[in-house]
Amino acid sequence: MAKRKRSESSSMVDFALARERDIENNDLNAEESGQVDEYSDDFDEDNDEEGDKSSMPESEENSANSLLAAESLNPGKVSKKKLQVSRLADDVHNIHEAIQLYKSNIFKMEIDELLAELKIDEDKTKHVDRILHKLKVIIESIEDSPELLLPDAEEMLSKSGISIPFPDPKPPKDAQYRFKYGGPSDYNVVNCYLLKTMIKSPERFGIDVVVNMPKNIFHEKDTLNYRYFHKRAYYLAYIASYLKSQKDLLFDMSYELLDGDHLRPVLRLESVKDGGEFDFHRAKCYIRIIPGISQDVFPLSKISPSRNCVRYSQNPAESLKPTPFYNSSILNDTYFFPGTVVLHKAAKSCDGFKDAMKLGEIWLRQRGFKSSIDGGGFGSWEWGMLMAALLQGGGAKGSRSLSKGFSNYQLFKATLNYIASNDFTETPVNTSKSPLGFDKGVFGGLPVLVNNDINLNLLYRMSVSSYRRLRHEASLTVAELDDVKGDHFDSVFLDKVDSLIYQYDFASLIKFPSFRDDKTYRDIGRVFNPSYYAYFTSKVYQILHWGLGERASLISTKFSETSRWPLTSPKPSSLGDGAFTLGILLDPENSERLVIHGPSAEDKAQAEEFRKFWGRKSELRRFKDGSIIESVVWEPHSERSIVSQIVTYLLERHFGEAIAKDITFVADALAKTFAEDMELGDGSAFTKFQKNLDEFELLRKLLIDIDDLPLRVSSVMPASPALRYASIRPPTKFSIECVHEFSDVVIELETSSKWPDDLVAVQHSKAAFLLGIAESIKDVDAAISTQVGLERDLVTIENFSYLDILLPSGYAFRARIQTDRESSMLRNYSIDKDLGLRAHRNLERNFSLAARHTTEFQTMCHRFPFLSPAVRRVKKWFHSHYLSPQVDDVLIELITLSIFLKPFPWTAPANATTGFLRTLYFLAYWDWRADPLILDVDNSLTISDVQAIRDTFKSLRNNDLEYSQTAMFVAVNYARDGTTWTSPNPSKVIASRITMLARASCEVLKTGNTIVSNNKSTIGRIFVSPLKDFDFVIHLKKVDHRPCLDVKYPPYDYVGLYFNELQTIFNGNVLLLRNALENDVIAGVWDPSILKARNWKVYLGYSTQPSTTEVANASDNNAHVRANIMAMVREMQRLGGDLISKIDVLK
Amino acid sequence: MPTFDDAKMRVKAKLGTAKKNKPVSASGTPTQIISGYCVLPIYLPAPVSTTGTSSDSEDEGGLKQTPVVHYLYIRKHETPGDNSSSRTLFVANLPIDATTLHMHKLFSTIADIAPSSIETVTFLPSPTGTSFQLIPSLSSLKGLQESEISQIRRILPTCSAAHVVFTDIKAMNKALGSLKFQQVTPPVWRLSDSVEQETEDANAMTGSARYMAIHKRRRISSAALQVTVDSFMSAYNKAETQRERDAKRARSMPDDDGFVTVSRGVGRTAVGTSSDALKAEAKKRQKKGELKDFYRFQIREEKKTRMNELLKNFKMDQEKIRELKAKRKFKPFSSKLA
Repeated sequence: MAKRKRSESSSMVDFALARERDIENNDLNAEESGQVDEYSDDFDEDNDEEGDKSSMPESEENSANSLLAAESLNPGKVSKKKLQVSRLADDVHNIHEAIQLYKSNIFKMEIDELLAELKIDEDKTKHVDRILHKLKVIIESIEDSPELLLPDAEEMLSKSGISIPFPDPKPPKDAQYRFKYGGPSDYNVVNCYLLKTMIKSPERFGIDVVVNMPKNIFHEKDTLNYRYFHKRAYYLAYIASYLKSQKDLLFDMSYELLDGDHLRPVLRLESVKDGGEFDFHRAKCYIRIIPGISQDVFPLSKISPSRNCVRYSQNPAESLKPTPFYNSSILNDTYFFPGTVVLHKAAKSCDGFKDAMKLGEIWLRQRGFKSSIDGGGFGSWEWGMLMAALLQGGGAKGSRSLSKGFSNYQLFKATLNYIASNDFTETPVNTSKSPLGFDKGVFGGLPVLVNNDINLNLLYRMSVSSYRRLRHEASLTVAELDDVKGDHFDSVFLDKVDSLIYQYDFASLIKFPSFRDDKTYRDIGRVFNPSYYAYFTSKVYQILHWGLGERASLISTKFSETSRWPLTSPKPSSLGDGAFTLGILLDPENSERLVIHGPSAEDKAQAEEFRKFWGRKSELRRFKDGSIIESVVWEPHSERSIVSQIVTYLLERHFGEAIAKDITFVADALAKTFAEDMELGDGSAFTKFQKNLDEFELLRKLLIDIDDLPLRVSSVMPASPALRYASIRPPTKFSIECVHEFSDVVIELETSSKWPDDLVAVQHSKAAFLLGIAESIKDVDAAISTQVGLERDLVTIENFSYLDILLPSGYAFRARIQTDRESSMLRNYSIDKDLGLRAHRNLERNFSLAARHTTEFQTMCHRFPFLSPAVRRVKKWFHSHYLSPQVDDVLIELITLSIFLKPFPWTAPANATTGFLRTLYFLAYWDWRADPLILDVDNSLTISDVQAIRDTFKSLRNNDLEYSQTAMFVAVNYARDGTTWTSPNPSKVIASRITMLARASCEVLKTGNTIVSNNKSTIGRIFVSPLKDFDFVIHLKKVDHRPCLDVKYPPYDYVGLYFNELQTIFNGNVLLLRNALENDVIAGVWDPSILKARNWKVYLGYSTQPSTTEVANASDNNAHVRANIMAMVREMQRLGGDLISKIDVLK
Repeated sequence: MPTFDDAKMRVKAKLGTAKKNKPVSASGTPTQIISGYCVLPIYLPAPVSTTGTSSDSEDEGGLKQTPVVHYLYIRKHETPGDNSSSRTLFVANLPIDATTLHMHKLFSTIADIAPSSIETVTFLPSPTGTSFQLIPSLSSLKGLQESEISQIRRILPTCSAAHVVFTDIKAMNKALGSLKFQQVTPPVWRLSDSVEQETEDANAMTGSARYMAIHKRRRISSAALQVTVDSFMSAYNKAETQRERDAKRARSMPDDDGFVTVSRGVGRTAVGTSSDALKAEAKKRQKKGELKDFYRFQIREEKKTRMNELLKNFKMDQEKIRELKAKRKFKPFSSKLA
């Protein structure tokens, strides 16, 4: 029995392929001998980039041979070694291949793993083969129906509870043509199931069964006015009614649209779970019965895309436009089997083809592309067809763009490259043997790909918007694949790219109006674009594309139609959730421009068009250069970006007030929360930073010019977040009202050999220099006030002195001196090596590297206009989770910067909120245990540099398996050790907490999968850390800063001082957290190890209590004690005194 | 959890306003002894200022009014051959704000020992604590104005210890004797019995007053810093000159065996350092290096090492993939956004 089943199922495929073999034989001689064009050259270049490696293959094999020879000379171990040797040879071969045919070794292995993961378990689908065969027998046994007029046909089918899925417009009741069912001329399994290119995914895959309708049921004129589609619908309904009448056939049946095409319903058969003969639910698939026709039913010239097939106007004077969509739908019905043959042939001639199809499909899916109209009209079928076409031609002078010898990865990349670098709308891809039978213009800006002789544009379901998006995604991925330094496998294949929240700079959800109100659509629009959603979104796209101009680099409109309905009801007019998403990528340079310049007033026609487009917003203006032109002026608004104003206005003007009112802006509440934050939302923040920088310049000149000191000041470097656009609060003038943050600067003196050889003496000399500088400044300008300060006790090898300088303008700076010898002296500090190294790290962090980072980050903020606001928002988040003392400012800045430098698979954010969201997203899913973060600010790291950093990381991890020294590893060009700002803080515990908090925040932010919650109180939650997570919480009073009148005793962050003392006193026993912005609480978590009972010893490192009350024997040396939590908290309370309002001990 | 008799603690109400504690004689119960240390429970009251100002907010809960018990571990200090040790007590696990006066008060409470009977109290540096000092010590600053000199209470790292040296063995024995038996109620950790006095005492300074004082200490006048730096530098220079002189003398003086030790001069290092020289030399050597692909065996060796390198990398990559696979990485649809 089992054997028979197998033979049956294989015969199923055989019979399909036998036909295909015939076709192939006919075409055998037609094989082209064209050469492979530039795209294969491209790959040679790729290999060159790998440096020595490309020149290696030959030498490799030689040496492998010599290795083999050497080993075979050793006679004793031959048998055992042989195996090893052959394995070695295999490995060598694999490496060889990987380097030649793939990006790199590891990339090849990753692809292999991915493909293995995508493989469908064929055992599970075997049963389906049998069902398909049975289905064929059943369908072929359906008897012909008589020819019926519409009312009779409807009545007959309604008796068996079936409604005919007529597309709109439905046939008139008095239609004179007759409906008939005739035995199919052909029955075939097509597409992915036949080719076995489907991939394993949570969604069930469809098995397409094409039933070709016989010629005799059609009339020559049936191509006109939907008649073909009406007859097709009847044919389908008739099959449905027959299947339904079969007692032993148990399918769960429904209608659905074929790829979202409203003209072409199909029958969807799902398995029922009854364990019976037709139960195939384990195969995770469904069957689609698709009515098709063979190519001889209608004369192909009549349905060429340039012909009109719908007489939408009765006015004989009006020339009727071509109906390319309508025509292509009919053409596509003739192309199911021929199309499958094309793919099959390509797969046979090119080994990597099927896998490349799978890679393409996964790539497309992660980006939200599918063959259906709502999926952008570009899915794995189109991808495969494009590859098949490119194997035939597509290159310059008809040469092939892909070579049959390409690996799956090469096929994948070359195809992407082709998409990215060719505009199919401008130059249609035509690999058929005859020239294009229609003008590309009939598709109105849609891409054109033809690889057949019937003039079927394979991309007719795409929209302008989806095509632009496809090219955008393709070029992004090509850039990723070209980047030899990083492994972008994840973002190319594994990460879901299609995300309204994270992908776009501006995103919103807009409700569709009712199509019933849209007369244009009902009268004419649907002739060209039958789906109302597709019709409407493409209009929105046009308007916004025009209106936003160069502000937007990509506008994406997406909707989804579920496209299924029961057999009992007629086809609904629209099948979606009634809303579409609008995602816009902005050009950071142009997006916030206030004025739109239109045509000159003299140009009457254009000016009129401009006025009509912009309506009341358009006005005639005279500009500085004397020109008088039409223009639109927008007002800056704290809560509404210019782009969102434009979008709202244009939608209102062109589609009515109701639509504009009902726009949901994604992340709107979050943006508003930021906008309301006085510190963050201040629009003039950038200018405040600039003012501080200008003042710094003055200070620099002042210091450089000092000439009455033994050594001259050689440079003055900024070293503070306030001097790199990165402090949460923009720098303000010095005030005695609140704690002022002085902007740190580092002074470098000219080199001298006269510094003392003793570090303490060096520190004292530096203090003396600061005093000298203060004196000189007083001489230059008495209006500048200065004050020296001490950071720590004077008996120290570290810097203890600084100089506060208050400029007359009110801006205040804190200067410290860096000497050239300190660094090496600290590194070689022999008295206490650990202390020396710790001090050296502090020196780098606070002096040289702080200065370097400040200058670099300034540059980055100019390169990415939205980096500064994004980083300040991210810092706000860190602070509100009490992480201020644990996470260095620079670390936050670098992580946020990485979002801009390495935005893959997206583009650098052009909006502060997007930057913030993406950073959270990154933090939530960054596996810092396994992945180092490497930043290359000026693209100057070489492959070996990156490798060296990775090696550092690897050895760091190998030496510290518990992450006790370093949790996060962040390297940048100027701090390649990767730990400057991440060790010892944030510790493993804190790093895990960051991950946890970021995940929780991301969860809070989304409601559903697409949209950021707009509920303000919900948004507020991402800035609240639950206090119950902690062991104890010290609530602080608002400190009354005693009025201090000058720079001598400015208001001070006493809590910070208290906090530092606590950290020193309870060193290591407790993890203390606080929000330096709010200063409302200090939260603590005890080191869990101290809570366990321990053996007593004198210096245990924390306050203890006996763990039993029993009076123990004096000789009992194993007496146990454990941490005296309450006493330690009380100690904290006693030290804090009036700073504290209350303490909660929670655990 | 509390190791102490709960009922007893509840009886004891407000500590801040507690009546004067008479020196209590020990109860009958012997003290708990751990590894030879007598365990002495003490009450750690809430800071004076807090209890003083907010007596009406008792019901706020939290930690404010609850008596908290801290444990001192005390034993006789013994070092062979040291006389003073015989009258010294070793006190471990001190509260972080312990001062000499606190110790005086403690012993007067538990054993009725007058402060005059305690010679010195030496706080020992904790081997586990850090030496990081945030507060410039008064001793390292010179030339301060009268107004700039303010006492800042010294805070110890947690779990510090002290030597309490009594004037005579008798006093110490008395103290030790009182530790053998449990106190009726644990003594209260404080400076003085009167609230007012305690508040005024600079040694008790906490909270904002303390941090204000630190803030002021850290922003001394330029004049004072100048004096401080100058005095340090002159002392340093003097020491340096002395050292140089000694070194010079050592260079010219023959040692016991009549040899003269030849040593490097104290002159300043020249522009180029020794490491520079090493680098330059290494560079030179490299330039002159032998031809690497002259002999056939060299080429073969080179190829072999490259080959091995390649294979090694390949193995490493394989390893990595295995790891990633173990982490279920290659599931494209289990992605975070899906």
